[in-house]
Amino acid sequence: MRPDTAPLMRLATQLRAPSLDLLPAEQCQRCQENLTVFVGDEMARLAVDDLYPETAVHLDICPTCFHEYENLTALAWAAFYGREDEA
Amino acid sequence: MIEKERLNLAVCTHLVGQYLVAQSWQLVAPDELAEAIFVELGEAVLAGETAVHAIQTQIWQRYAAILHQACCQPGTTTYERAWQELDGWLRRQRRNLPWHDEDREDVVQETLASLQTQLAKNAIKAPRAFLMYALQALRNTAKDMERRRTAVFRGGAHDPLSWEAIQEDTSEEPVVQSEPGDESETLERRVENIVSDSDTRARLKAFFTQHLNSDQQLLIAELHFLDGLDPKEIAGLLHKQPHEIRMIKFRIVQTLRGLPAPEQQRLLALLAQEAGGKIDAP
Repeated sequence: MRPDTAPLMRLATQLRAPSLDLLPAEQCQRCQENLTVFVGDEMARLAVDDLYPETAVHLDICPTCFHEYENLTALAWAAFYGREDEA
Repeated sequence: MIEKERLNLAVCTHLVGQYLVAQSWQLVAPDELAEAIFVELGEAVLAGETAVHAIQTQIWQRYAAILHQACCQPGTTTYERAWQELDGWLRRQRRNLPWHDEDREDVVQETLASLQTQLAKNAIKAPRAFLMYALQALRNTAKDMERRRTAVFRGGAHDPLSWEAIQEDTSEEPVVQSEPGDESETLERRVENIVSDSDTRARLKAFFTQHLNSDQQLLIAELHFLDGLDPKEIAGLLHKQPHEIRMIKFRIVQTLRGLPAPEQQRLLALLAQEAGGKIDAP
């Protein structure tokens, strides 16, 4: 059987995406607006890559948004699980 | 304590009670919350750290919804209590934010004010994420204060992380899963389905081996791109948290995006072959 091609298709999209300085600002805004739900649901081990595909794809290509993701994740781990080192 | 034990209601109640006390959360009785969580998780086979994590996540998400509801109902007996709890909880988070000591009181007060203003206008769409919103608002307020303090402004651009922005109706709606069982498609079956011995797959693997920076990145790339597992599934296999896998995946994608154009074209051609026409060739 053929592999699940979704990750490959996403990778192709990501390779073709413009460089950081050319990424549309609306993408970053939408991504960062959605981060709280994305991070919380990821902690609940929901399939966030399927639930929020736009956010998941954008996070891989945008260092600015990924930085926000990392910081919010670290803050949430410390707040909810008392384990800062995990994030 | 619950290592090697099946989840049971007594253990669940004990963990819920401990957690609520540690967070100073009193808007719900521990046994009431524990029962709801047990019903949710009862069928799952959970033990050890996995069980603790699952229960703790259920607690804070459910409590966030309870807190959100109470914070939206002025005039009720729980309203004042809810805002007091949120105040105290935000103060405890300040140790995790790099702000100046003299700003701490202002940061908490400003965050609470922005949350109150927002909730007075409309409730948030995902109450389970209310405490995450509060954390993000706290962080943004601290960042804003730091900017003001150092007088370093970035051209007055709109802050994409402001509470106001969070509430705009532009966030990504979750994609509805067709059936609850879809997510439980077993890992074993997926792995079985995607083991491919095609030449293209071998060439993709060789490409990753050539260009990725570590064995760890190579492993994640194989599991994700070639085996089709998402970060959550890879985390389960490797006994990691999903965000840890996502961080490695981010570095992989950054590495691949940073390759010279001819190499990227070669990769795109391989992807097009492997995807069987679902991806346009370069």
